[in-house]
Amino acid sequence: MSFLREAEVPDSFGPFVAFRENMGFVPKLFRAQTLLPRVIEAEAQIAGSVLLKPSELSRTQKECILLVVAAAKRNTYCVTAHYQTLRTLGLTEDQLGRMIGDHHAAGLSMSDEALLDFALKLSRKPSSIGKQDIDRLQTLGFSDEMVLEAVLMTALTNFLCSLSTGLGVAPDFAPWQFKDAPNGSAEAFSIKSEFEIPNKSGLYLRAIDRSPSDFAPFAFFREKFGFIPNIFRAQTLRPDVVEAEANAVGTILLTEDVLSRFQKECILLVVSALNLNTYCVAVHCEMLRNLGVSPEKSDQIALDHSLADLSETDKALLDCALKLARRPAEFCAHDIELLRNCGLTDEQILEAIVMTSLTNFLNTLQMGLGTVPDFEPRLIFPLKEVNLSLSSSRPTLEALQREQSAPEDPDAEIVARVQAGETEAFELLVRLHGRKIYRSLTGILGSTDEAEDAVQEAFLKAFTHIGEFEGRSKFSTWLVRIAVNTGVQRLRGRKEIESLEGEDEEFRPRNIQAWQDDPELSYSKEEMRRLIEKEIMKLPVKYRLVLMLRDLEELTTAEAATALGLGLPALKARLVRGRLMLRESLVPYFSKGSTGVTA
Amino acid sequence: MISCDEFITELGSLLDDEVAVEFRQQLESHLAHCRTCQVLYDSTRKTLRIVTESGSFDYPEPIAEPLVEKIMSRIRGNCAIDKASPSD
Repeated sequence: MSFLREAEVPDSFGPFVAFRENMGFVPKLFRAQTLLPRVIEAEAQIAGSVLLKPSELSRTQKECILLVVAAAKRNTYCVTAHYQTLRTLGLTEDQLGRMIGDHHAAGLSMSDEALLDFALKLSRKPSSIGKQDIDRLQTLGFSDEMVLEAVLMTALTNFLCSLSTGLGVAPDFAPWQFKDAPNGSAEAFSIKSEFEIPNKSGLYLRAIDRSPSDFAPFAFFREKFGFIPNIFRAQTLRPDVVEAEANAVGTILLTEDVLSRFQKECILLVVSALNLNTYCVAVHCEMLRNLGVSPEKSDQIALDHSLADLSETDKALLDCALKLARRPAEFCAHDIELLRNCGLTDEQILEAIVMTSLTNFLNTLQMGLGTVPDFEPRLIFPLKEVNLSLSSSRPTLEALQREQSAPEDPDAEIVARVQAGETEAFELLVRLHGRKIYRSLTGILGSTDEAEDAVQEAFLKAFTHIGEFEGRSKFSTWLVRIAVNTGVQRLRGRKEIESLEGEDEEFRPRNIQAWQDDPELSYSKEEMRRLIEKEIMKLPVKYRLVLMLRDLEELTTAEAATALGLGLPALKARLVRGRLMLRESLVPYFSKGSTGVTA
Repeated sequence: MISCDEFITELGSLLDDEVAVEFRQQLESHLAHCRTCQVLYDSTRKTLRIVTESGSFDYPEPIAEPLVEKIMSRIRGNCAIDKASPSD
């Protein structure tokens, strides 16, 4: 019995056959999801790769991670199930009882204790994980493959615990009775870790470069998302797992037959924000943007969906997902009833619970692997841990904005002086960035005279609003964004805005003549500058602007995308088109057969 | 095998060195066999070099200093007005 209706499936249903073969029975957790067999298939493939398939960590090590992490979460269903499995693997009742109470008292080897310490820390205090935790395991002889498996097992446990709570599944065996307060050792351990500063620099584990042309999951991500998320690139030591995850993304997130893609992206976003996961919030804000949702709206959904422009049903759906993620111990049949009262079907509720659990899986994975965002994050969540199981409220917008700061902004000190009232310090910012702003505005407006006026206007706006600059991006990116807005307003006055926002045109290079070896030698520097300015000015404004920010200002691709409010794939597409158009226009001047056109 | 269209789509990322090593090898192997894409790659790379080094749209020196002055005097003017107006 569980909270939701079940459906009949034939005995020949593939995942159930596999469960019977591997475990001797079909766990109720999966029977409780028979309304959506596709979901069971995706989950069984992940569980098969991560837990059941023989790999570098032993099955016993992996089952112990599951047991200890589930015990710390007081999840009776998972503890009961995996207690039984470990019994069949030869551990005694006494050993298992001690492990559930405090794994340090269970007579494990030093390295196995460290492995469980790591899994517990990743599950309970994910944002405090840093490179030093991985180094510690490696010093004890764990390979990169083993650490990856430990991260995956912890993520899988979080997934299964969330799923079993959300579905209200009764244990498959006589339930384990928790005797004492939550795992004492874990509490002591979490207090100690308050004083550690995690080293978050870069990826923690080795990965193998794979290409979409010979690795189907990457071809799938490229086709569906336009890019290959770093979280999957970081797991290529286990291609079978990446394949299972790609299948889960396709089957659970990208389907539209039960909940809409928008509803599922919203669940991903709010639960990731609750987990303070900057990476997943950045990725799924971008996904929502690709679905036509404005960045402001997705920020609002992430920070407090109750104030966002959403239907009452969608808000109830997100309330339920957040309660399951934040206060699993209080989650009950009443929460399901609230959704039914909103008109949601059991299939839709099941999918919402699966999405919440999948988000917990992805968030844990990201924190354990240390992947960097694929896009410049609009919201950066502080490293300082919020104890999610105890916190009763979500971080407020103000609190987040106070704590958000771009780590290495060379202008931070000058900006702070201006914000403190030192007007004259602003002159330094004008001198440092005037050139960049002048170029950006020339690029938008196509006229140096008008650019001069607009530069003044942009700096005045920046000065007026400098109190509102909170360091979410670098000051220079913020300033370029103001300049872009100033320029766009002027274009709007000239009714040229359609040309900036319209669809990208097809462009194919036509003139394929080889160029001279050193085209720079054909003209003087001054002639060259005039030629390039003239030809850049002929480009349509949207390509001109991208090309100028990226190739003249030398902003990074992500900075240029932020300044223009574009997604990364859109920015890259415009950039390559702009460069090819400019190349085409320069062929008569620089091709081998050219006869010296006057610049 | 990569087509010319795919190569052109990835050309920007290739020039910016933003492709994975293995994919880069595939793009390069296409390049080794396709004369058209060789010309496109070479000329676009040279275009970028010329643009970056051209100093285009640089602040003309005669404009730079007066512009800084204009901006700062307008800001000081605004501050003076703010200070002069009664606070609420």
